[in-house]
Order: sequence, then C-alpha cells, then structure tokens
Amino acid sequence: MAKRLPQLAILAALAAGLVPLLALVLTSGGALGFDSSIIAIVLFTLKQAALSTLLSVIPGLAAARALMHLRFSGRSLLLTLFALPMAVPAIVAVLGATALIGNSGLLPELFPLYGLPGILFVHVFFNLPMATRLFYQALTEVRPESHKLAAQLGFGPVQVFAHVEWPAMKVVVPQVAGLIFLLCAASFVVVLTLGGASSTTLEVAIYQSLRMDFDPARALALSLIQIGVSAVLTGFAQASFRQDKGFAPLRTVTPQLTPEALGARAMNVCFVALAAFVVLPLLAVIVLAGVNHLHFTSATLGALFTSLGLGLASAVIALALAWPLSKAQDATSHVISLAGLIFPPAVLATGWFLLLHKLGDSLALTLAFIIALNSLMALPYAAASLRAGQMRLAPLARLQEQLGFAGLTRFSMIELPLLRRAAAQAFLMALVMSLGDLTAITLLGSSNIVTLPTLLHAEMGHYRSADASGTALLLLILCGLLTFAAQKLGERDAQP
Amino acid sequence: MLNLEQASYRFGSFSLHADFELTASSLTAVLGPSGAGKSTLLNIIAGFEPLAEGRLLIDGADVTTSPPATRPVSMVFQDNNVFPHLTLWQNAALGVATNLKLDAAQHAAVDEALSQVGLSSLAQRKPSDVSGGERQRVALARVLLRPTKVLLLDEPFAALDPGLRAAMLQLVADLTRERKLVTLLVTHQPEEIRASAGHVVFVDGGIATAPQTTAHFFASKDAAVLSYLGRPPSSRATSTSA
Repeated sequence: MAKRLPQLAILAALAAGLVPLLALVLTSGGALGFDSSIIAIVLFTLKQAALSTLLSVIPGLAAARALMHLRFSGRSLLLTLFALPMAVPAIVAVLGATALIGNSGLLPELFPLYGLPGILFVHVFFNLPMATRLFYQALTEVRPESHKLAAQLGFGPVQVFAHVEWPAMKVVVPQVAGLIFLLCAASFVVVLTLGGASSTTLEVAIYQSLRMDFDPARALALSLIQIGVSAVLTGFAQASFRQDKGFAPLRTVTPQLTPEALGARAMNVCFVALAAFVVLPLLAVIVLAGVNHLHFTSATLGALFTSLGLGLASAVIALALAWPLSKAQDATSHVISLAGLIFPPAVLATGWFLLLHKLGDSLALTLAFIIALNSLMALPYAAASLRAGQMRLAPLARLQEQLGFAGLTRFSMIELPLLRRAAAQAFLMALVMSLGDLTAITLLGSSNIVTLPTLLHAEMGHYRSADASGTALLLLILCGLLTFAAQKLGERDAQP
Repeated sequence: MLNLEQASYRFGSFSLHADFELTASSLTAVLGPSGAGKSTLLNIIAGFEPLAEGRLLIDGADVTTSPPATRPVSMVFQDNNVFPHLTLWQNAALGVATNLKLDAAQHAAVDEALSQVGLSSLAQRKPSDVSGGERQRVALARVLLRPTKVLLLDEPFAALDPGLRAAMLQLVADLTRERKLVTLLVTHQPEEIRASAGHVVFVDGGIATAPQTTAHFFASKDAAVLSYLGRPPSSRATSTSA
C-alpha cells in the first residue's frame, strides 16, 4: 500500500487535470473554435510575458550584482523585503498599483494603470525581487577561492564580472526567465482587473468565452494553445524549482571583493534603488492606506473564516499529494507535481465549471472544486519544498535498508522527525497561496462564497476604497505572517 | 564462511567478477585503484547491488537474493552512519529494534555495546555534537548489537587523523577476533593495514582476486599491483618516443 502511494497521487493529480479537459472536449462536441482574434490573443499573451520577463531579469541581474558589492546597514532587511511580494495576493498588488498610479493615486500621471503598462508594472513588482533573490543566491554560491584568485590576479571589475560573476548567474538565467515567463503567461487576476478589451491573455479569454459568451468550442481551442505554451515553458522552468530555495534566508556575508571605482559604485546604488522603487512604494502604500481602515465587520470576519477554511483544506490536500510525489524520484512524479503549471487554472476551472453544470451546481460541489483547484495550484511549490527535505534523507537510504526500516516504523521514526519542518513549510506556503487566491474562486465560484480576496475585489468594484484598503492590509498581514513563519521553519531546517 | 561462487555483477559497461572464500575471524583488506569496484564488492555482499550470475553464501546459507536487512551483514559507510535527529544511544539501539521499543535486557545490551566502543559518557548526545570518529564508533556499537557475521567497512576512517585511525583499526581487529567475524575493509592507505590485516583482496580490471596473504601481496611482482603501489615494474626506462 505504502509503495503504491506515489502512483495513487499521480492518478489523483492526473484525474484532476484531465477530467476537466475531457469535459471541455465533450461539451464542445470536439469542435475547435479558431478565428483570427485568437492569434491576437496569443500574440498579446506572449508579448506581455516576454516584456515582463525582460523587465524582471535584466534589472534583476544588475540589482543582484550591485547588492553583492554594496555594503549598507539595510541590505539584509531589503533582501527580506524582496521576499515579501511572494506572499502578496495578486488582487492586493492590483489595489496597491491603483493607489499608487491610478487616477486618484499618488502618481496619477506616471503611466497608464490600465492596459499593458499597468500589467507590466504589477508583474515586475512580483518577479523583479524574485529574480534578484535567485541571482543573488547564485552569486553567494561562488566559491571564495574564485574571488581570492581574482584578487591575486589583479582582475578589474569587468574581468571579475566576465570570469566569476556572470558564469555563476548564467546557469540560473534560463530557469529564472522560464519560470517568470510561465507565471506571467498564465497570469489571470492581474490581466482580468487591469487589462482592457484589447489587453486580453489566453487565460482571461478562456474565462470570458465560457462565462460571458458560453462558447465551449472557442474555450477548447484556447485551452489547447494554453496547455501547449505552458508545457513547453514548464520544461524550462522546472529546473529552477530544484534550485529555488523558496523563502530560505540569503547569506549576506560577502567575500572580499575587488574594490570598485566611484562610478561603478554609483551605478550599483542606482540599480539597487531602481529595484527598491519597484517593490517598496507598492508595499508601503498598501500598509499606509490600510492602517486607518483595518476593520472587523461581520462581512470581513465571515470572509476571513471562509478563506481560512478553504485555505486549510487546500493545504492539507496539497500536502497529501506532495508527500508521495516528492518521495518518488522518477520523472513522471516530478512532471505530475507541476500539473498545476502545465494545466493552467483557467483550463482546469472551465472544465470543472462545465462538469459542475452537468452535476447540478450545488454549493458543496463548488467548494470541493475550489479546494481541489487551489491544492493543484499550490502543488508545485509544496512538492519543491518537500523535495528539498527528501534530499537530506537520500544519503541515509542504505542505512535504513540495512536496518530494515519499513512502513509505519519508517514513517514515524525517520521520515516524520526529519521532514516535519519541510512539511510544515510546504503546508504554510500552500495556505498562503490559497488564502490570496482569486483565480479559482472567480473561475468557479458563485456569489454565495465570499473570501477575503473576493470581498476585496467587490469593494474595489464598488469604489469603496477605504474598506478595500483595510481588507487588503488584513490579507497582507495574514499572508505576510504565514510567509514569515514558513521562512523561519526553512531557516531552522537548514541547520543540522 | 563467506563464499562468492562464480559471482558476476554488471552495470552498463562495468563488470566485476569474484570467486573466493573467506574464513571467520579474518580481517581482509580490499585494495585497488579508484573506480575498480572495491565499494561495489562490498555492496554486493551487503545486498545493495544484485548479482547477475553466481551465488553468495554466508555460513552455508544462500543469501544471493535476500534483502539487506535479513543478511547477517553490517556495513559501516564512509559517512551517514547515524540519523541526525536521534541520540547516539538511540542510533545504536536501532540495531536491536527499529521502533526503539527495548526490554530491560536489550537496554543493558545497548549500554554495554556503547561502553565497549568508549561512548558511554556521550550516549545522550546528538550526532552533531560529537566528532566524526565518535560517530563512526556508534556504527561499530550497532555492529555489536546486530546478529553480525560479516562486517564490511568502506573507508570508514578516511576522515580521521592518523592516531585515531590506528585506534579504530585496533578496535575493528579486536571485534573481528572476539566475534569471529569475516571483516572486509576498503582502504586507500595500504601501508596502514600491513600489520593488522591478514589478507588482501586486490580489485582491478573487473576481477576481485582471491585473498592472498598481506606479505605475499606486498612482495608481488604483478604489474597491476606494482602500478597500484606506485613502484616501477623495473629500473629499465619505458619511454619509447622522443
């Protein structure tokens, strides 16, 4: 039984991914609805993803290198703050962007909020700090001997970059870029709220063709294209899941570096400042706007409990699927754990939406589908976190085999004690993702289910900006604290 | 005691053949160049690698297809011999019961084993709080607690300083004699085992040769052995081109 667990998890994840697709095929009668507008949608999807990636990766490289060279007292704090966007729900970031560059925002004339510029701004807010942290992490893994050798040979900054720093970062560039491209190509909430009629991505178009136009043939065509794009990109990005240390704290002790000239240092300051200005004002505006409007009405509390209930259920299922998948070392399990990325939420949700209609649209069923979709979306991250824990167990495999560990004894004596922190971390990360989710609930939900993100979305739609800013801050605090807890667990887990 | 009968192992283009017998109360060194298959030989005996052909017998019983935990074999690895979350005492006690449910007599046996390897005072420490040598001693204590007839050591003392290495080697030699074990020790320091090991199994060119006495091995004129020991086969120059 225990040996079949990975296979069972694979079957469960496959069923969750393929059944809705089948429903889509059956409903459309196998017909594909292609028309010229689809080409424009594909092109816009790829264009905004490519631009988001470029605007995150190139400044990210510069900022990571600059952070390595500069020494200032807030550096460690800045790197920690750069981990925070990971915890910010998309709808909260959209609210922050509105408060910052919207018509009645602080900087209304900076660039248009709606359409491509606004979408790019929010995408870069999420991905520039992540790219910076991943590149910085790659730089900290340069062996100290390389820097000593560079100093001994009298390398200038250009040679240090060419022979020491770039080779270290180069390895992770394709993975980081692939991951960002994938996440942006499948971005739903940001494009739905900030894109206009002309700025529609595949993900949003799938939703619209079903929920607004009820055109399953068109939805199927869009879904197949989306799956194709995502599958190719996931291939690139999956390597970075192995590399990504998630919320792990980054070492800020820098090795002795070759001193740089004043001009180079001024440039470094500019790069860091640029990155900081993408990240910090948006976070600050959410906190400052919300701090006077933090409120706990019955609506807020109801939404909070619904969110927590859905989040906890999703996290439990994500963990139950991730545990056996992370244990199995084969490629199939690895790919399956990425199903939530290969089958984009809109594709899964539309399929399930159609099934839901056939099955009779009950509230319990809707909740079940929302939980299932959320756990599938969190699965890649939960599996990556657990896999990191499994890596430390691997060297002890032969010892376990020799001593004859098996079944429940193996689980309670070895796996649970050694993996409980990684498991708790995976659980918290899944919980954070589900708490902030607006994708699954928009795609599947009815007006009867109110979570914190849907409450926030409704408040924004009704221009109740005071209430919205309070709800946004509550969500930010909740997700921020849970992320912080996950980070602390990761930190302790890294120690022997 | 331990018989390898026409035993063959294959993995890709790598193969290893062995056909010999080892007797109880013997300490045999496994020597040979890197990558020749010294560790593979130990893994075959422990049951971590399957044989393609031939048989493995321990005390007359055919264990060719037995899983590792059921063989009367204990292997001490180069590293990772202890679980980091358990105390040294618990790590040793795993040799008695993997669920750590021990009766009074077994409890006393674990105490006794730890005292025999000189770890009594450190029994309640975690592996991260003791030295590398002390961690390896835990593995030896566990050998005393498992029904062991064959002891396999894969460079277990490589990371220790010379004095400690000699002391550990003495401990292994004592255990081998007292428990009438068949002990196989992989090492990269042939000179060190000259005094303590009675025999040598030389692994090279896909073959683990039958054990020869240590004196005989070090006096060997075999080209492969001489090359391994870093001694030129003769004084004549071998360069053929200029």
